[in-house]
Amino acid sequence: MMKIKNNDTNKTYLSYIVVPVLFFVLYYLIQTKTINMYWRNIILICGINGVVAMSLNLINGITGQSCLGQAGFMSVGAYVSAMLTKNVFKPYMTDTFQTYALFVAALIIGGLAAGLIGFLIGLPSLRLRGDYLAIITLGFGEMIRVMWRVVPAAGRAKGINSIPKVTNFVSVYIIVFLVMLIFRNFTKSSYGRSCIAVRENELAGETMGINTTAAKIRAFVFAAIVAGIGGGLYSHLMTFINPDTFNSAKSTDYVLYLYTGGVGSFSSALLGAIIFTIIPEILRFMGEWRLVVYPLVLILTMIYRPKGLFGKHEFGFMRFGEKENEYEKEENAGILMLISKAVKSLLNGKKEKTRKEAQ
Amino acid sequence: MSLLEAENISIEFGGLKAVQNFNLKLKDHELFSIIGPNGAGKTTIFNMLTGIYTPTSGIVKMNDVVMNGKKIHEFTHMGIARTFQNIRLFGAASVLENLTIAMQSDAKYGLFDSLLRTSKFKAREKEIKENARELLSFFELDKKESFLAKNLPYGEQRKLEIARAMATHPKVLCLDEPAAGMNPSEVEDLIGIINKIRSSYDITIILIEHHMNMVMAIADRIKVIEFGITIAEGQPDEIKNDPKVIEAYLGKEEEQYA
Repeated sequence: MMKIKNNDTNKTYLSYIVVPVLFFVLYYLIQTKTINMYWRNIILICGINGVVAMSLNLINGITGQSCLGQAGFMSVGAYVSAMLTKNVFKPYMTDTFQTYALFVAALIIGGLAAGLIGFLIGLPSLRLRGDYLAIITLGFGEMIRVMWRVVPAAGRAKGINSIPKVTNFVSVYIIVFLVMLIFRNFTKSSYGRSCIAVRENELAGETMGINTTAAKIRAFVFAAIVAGIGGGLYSHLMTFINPDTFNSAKSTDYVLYLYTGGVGSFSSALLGAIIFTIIPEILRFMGEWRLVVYPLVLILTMIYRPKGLFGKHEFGFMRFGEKENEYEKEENAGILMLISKAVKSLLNGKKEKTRKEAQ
Repeated sequence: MSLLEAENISIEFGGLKAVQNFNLKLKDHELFSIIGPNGAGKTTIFNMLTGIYTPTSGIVKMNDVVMNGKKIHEFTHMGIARTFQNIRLFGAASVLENLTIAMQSDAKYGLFDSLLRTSKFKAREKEIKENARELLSFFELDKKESFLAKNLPYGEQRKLEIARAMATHPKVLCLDEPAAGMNPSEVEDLIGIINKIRSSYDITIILIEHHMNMVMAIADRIKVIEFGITIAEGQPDEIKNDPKVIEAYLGKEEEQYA
């Protein structure tokens, strides 16, 4: 998608330019109210869903475990950070700087709390795999949700309202970008490689000297922290959360974003989250029919693009600007590859036609 | 002291005595071969020596440290590496990545080094990549470094498995039927590689193999297993002439090929 040919270094730098340009364009459009509040919120939710979908990709895509309880981690971050800002930090949130410093602190603490829960859920993953692990994580996710219904400080079933509305476009954009960078650096290190070993062949990984137990726990904790930060952003955007916001349907949504986008790639997870958050909004004009059309879109995606819409492609900056070689391209096989192939064949067809005409 | 020692190890699965009273004392730099008919328990012995199974009784020692009950990766850190009879590569990873994954213990940096990409991290990563490339050229796989492992032809997958095992810097290398499914010229190639490894690295090899020609050509010492019990041990020439072995194993082979 993002490619500029540079013969000197054989690297692509387009995405390095696109990231800031996209930021300023969207920022300008939001500031001038060209994008109205409704669509602004949808853009922010796209980003937040992207963060959580990317965190799920670390567990499902990179480490090859199956987790169906991502909304559970998200709720921990959402609740803990919301309780902090509402009950503790609010009096100190006087000027802009303090507000955002405390907001970031609340996000981090919420993330760490989610990480702790992630550790607890990671423990059974040492013994279980596949469907069984999925069931366990589903159960854990529900357990966390039900837990919020009985904790008085979390407002029981009523939830928490009038949370300070501090999530804005700048913070979401920066966090999405930072999360991508951190996940990239993690996956491209020996830590990420041990996760890949677990996914590809756990026994072989273990005989290569990799502590697969530690790798799995690390992936769960890390993903939970990031999902918790996503939850914190969510609660400070909505200003209102209750336990049912984070039900198992929400967990399923993240699985859906990830697999329709392309499991195994953080960029695809983000793009999947963006597209499948926007589609139901676009389909709103259909009224109730959108609930029929939306699943149909999903089914067609899975039939015709089983590897996800964007396959395993990563943005240029996720590959340090290194080009994908032809083997990777073939393997990743995203929809973009298909489009570029179609365009190329069209162009070639035209050339042949002109050639024939010339003859 | 011996690199790897097994004292009277036995393992039972339910009522099945898969291996009984297996003894091994590995000499430095030798090529020790374990042979025996199908189902004799050879791979089970490997699994006990590399920590995948814990023996029901008996002791496995590496450098005089008792290894019973330790984790598989701890066995690897003590200097033992293995290949698998049914290839277990990291299929969706590239050939180069297969080696860098195995070079886990060379990455002596912390989590924050890798998240912040410090200079220490970069230096280490560069070193790992260089070592991996060197190993690939040793195994003549350097032209295929960006291939996905699962797309390699069979013979090269076998080679890559050995290369990956070598990437963990082992002192003892366990090869589980490396020549299975290979044609005679590929077997010749494999013998060449094993000899090359022995001459260039300070290494002891344990080999399970069915190709008798190959075992007789390269093994220093052979142990013969049948139904989990050791029936003979000695130099290749002794084994060839042992009546028990001929009866259990080689006899059949000679009838077939006579």
